[in-house]
Amino acid sequence: MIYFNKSQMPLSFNHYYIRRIWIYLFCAIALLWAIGPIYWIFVSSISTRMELYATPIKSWFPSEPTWDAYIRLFQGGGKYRGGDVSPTEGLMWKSLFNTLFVSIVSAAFVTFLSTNAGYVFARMKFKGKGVIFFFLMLMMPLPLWVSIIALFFMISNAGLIDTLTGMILLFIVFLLPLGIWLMSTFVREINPEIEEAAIVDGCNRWQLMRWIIYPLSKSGMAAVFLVSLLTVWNNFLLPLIFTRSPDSQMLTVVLSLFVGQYEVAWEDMAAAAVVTMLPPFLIALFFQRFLIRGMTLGAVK
Amino acid sequence: MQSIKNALLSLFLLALMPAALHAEKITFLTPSWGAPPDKALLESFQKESGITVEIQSVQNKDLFSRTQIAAATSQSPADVIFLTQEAPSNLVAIDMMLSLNNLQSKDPLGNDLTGQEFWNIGGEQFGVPVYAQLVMMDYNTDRLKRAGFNTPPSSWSELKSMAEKLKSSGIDKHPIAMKSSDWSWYLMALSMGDPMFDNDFKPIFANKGSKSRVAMKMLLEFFSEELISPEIVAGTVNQHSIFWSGTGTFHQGWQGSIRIGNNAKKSKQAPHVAYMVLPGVGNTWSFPAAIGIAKFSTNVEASWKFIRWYTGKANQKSIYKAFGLYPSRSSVAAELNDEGLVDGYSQILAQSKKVNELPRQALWWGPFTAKVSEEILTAVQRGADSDKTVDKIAVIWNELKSEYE
Amino acid sequence: MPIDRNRGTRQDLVFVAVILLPLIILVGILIYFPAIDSLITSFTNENLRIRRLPKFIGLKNYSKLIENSEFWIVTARSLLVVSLTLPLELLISLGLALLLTEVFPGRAMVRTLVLLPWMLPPIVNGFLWGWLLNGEYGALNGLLYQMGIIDEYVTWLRNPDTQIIWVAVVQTWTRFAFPTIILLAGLQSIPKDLLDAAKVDGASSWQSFKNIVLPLLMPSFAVALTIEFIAAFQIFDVIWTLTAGGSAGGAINPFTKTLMLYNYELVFRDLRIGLGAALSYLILFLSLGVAIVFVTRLYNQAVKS
Repeated sequence: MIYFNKSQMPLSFNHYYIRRIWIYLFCAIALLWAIGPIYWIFVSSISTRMELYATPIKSWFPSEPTWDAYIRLFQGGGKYRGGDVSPTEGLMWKSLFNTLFVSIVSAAFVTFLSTNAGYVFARMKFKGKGVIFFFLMLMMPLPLWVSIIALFFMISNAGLIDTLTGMILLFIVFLLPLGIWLMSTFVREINPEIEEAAIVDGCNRWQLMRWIIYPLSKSGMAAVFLVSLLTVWNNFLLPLIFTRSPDSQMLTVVLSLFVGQYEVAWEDMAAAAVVTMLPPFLIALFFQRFLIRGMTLGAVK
Repeated sequence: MQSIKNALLSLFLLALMPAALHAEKITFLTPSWGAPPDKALLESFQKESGITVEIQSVQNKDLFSRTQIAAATSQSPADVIFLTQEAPSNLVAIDMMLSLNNLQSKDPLGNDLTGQEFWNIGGEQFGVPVYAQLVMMDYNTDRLKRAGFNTPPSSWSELKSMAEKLKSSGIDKHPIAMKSSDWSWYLMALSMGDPMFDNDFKPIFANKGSKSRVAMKMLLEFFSEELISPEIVAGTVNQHSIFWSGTGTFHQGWQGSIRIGNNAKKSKQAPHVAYMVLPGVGNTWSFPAAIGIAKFSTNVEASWKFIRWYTGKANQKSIYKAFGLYPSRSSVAAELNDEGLVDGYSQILAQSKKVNELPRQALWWGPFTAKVSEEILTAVQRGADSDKTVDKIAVIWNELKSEYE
Repeated sequence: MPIDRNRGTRQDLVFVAVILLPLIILVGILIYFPAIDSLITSFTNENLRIRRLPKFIGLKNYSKLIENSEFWIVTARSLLVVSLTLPLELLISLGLALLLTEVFPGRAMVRTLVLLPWMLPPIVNGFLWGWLLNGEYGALNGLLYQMGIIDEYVTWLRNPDTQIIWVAVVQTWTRFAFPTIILLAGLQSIPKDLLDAAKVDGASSWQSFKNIVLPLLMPSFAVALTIEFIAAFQIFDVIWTLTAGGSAGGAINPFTKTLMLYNYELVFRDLRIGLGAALSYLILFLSLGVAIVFVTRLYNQAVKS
């Protein structure tokens, strides 16, 4: 969708290219803002500590780049005097898998459940709709650690501490309110005439969902999926309290292990951060490509 | 036919059970520097004893959160827990740790373990000491020499004038690497000779004309004269990173800090760093660590076996070699020194004779010491009067004391 | 074919029940039950360090908090952070969302790249900015120095006033991807034919933006605004690692203490769970109050149009 074009056809090639230049300029600024610090993380992960301490002139690419930090990350690396034992030995791969699994499954469930619920709240009328909606949304701003003691009690009695299932269950519940709210917003934007036509044709609600709502709210569902995935990916408190062992430990807790007694192993943490950012990046890229392709095919009439 | 199958199946399962029971499992909750660094050593322990050890590493403050939440629901987060110097106030106080008196009498661990008194609270032994560390200071000998001083200062006023000389001569812009927090004040007050607390937990640091007041005044002056880098006040780094990144001549370190200080890969100060015995009376305090068993653990016997191994000679040596943490067994320390592995041994020895402990066993120590840091930071930021700050701290102590007693 | 109205509504009710009941039960058990338990705790004087049975003290925790000036200072500071962060964040994300709906090659890659800040784990984020803004060896100082903009390294975080500003900047940087995603999705669901019709009618781009895009974007905008408000109001990670950090923990920087840090202090440091729970509920009421205002004014207005 192009908002600032005065007409569908460019007036001239110049106009088209000037527009392009502006777009790329703003993109460059946006990328500088977003990626600049990330670049520093990458540089940190391949630098030595002495290079990071260099003042006042900094080299923007280390003169002696090294992959040591990454090697140490996955192997538990060298033990040498000065207090450097890699704390994440054996943990990186497992927690990467755990985090991927929990985040994808939770996000999938949340997307599915909240699209259904979003439709219900957006389109259907029934007694108590407002109350139920309010009920589901009310506790969203409640700080998590308020509930954490009682939650811990319940989850441990259910035997779900340190299990992937337990984590998934917890994340689904905490992500649902936002997901439902978002999807009800997006579903509302769908043209109701399409639905009415389908109902007149004899569709029941389930068929309506499958053939009309899901395809039409793809971008909304993608947004909810991505948001849920990233929220799980970055969450620290839940994995801290509810996981213990590599069985279900997640990346955010493993990353905190780089905070040593006296100093932070920043190069190692940076390497771990780069690795941590890779899976969500690839997933998001996939979604973006998928969404854009879907859009250019036009709306379903 | 079906019943025979069932019988065979149950017999089969029963046969498996003893095998399953043999492989006991215990969990060990620890910060990263408490995890046994020598994997081969741990493997051999697991094989010999038949106990599987699952190590759960978290950051120190997260260890407390996890344990506290579990404690609130009368559960244990793990079988064995690593205890740092805040543990008495954070873990023992919330009734999370098992008393080891029975186990110790049945199966004693040897009498060369130093520092057991710290972990004896109300007559109950809650932890077996793992390492002992003193808060020490180290300094850059080369820079001091360039400023014209060949020996480290013998009093705090001398230290201050040395620092001022270093700064004015341009050798070091911010010659003192200390934090704007509780430890800096304790360090200065204790080494000036003020015991700070008496045996009844009364805050004698608040007495008129006490050395602690002198210490606070000087500490605030360090900041106002920018003898300490303003970056410390910014709160993103601690005194160690600042020192090792090249800023600072005098550094509040710990027993073992010169190993990092003189490591050319980690510190710009290498290889000139040496310990200095604290100026003045020279008292310091220690921050020991221990290992204990959680109250609701169901594997007490196995945990004790693990503790015996953990505080044994082999593991203590490997911990020293990996982390520089001074072993609690005096025999091990002597052996390490014989092997020439302890840097700055003579200064460590000299400093270890001048120790004046702080009352970490007080239930409210945790919140108290955090509030002290806040008061000091506030005083530094606002340029507050040092006497008023000390008064405020005394009020905080007394309030907490009355709340908890 | 006559439509059997009764069958329709009965089927509909089944549909609604099948979808909503599991959610209600899940939320009820896992969210409300613990929340009510801690509400009850907030009426007691429970303290984990003092081993005695918690005593019911009614609303004393709440009055203790409200009567203490610290609560008001901390709340004001939280609102300050919000007022600095929110406009910046929403402006950036709206601008980005508009930019990224343009069609150009590499769009998918750019869209994904700008999400990267949100994919960074919070603990790394804090240390990252600590390194960047460091007054002794930080990258920002290095950059500005090399570009000739400054002569001497600046300790950016020395003063409490600048600390808050940087907190707002870092919080914006951390979170702007979230409203961007929401607004992008919102923009994408605006039907193209509406805009085409407007163009045919001769509307300028600014007019079509003001009269078509903005109102239709309001629901998504309201969601984004509310969520970001809550995130900024309940900020924790950024302040913790940026201003109260260094390795040894425990002490909280009193100059950047916001509501959630105060809450952490009461619950995890002082272990005064009763008081901490009361504060959490005060935070909830404050957050809800503002959230409801946003929702009723923006959201329902948009739905009506």
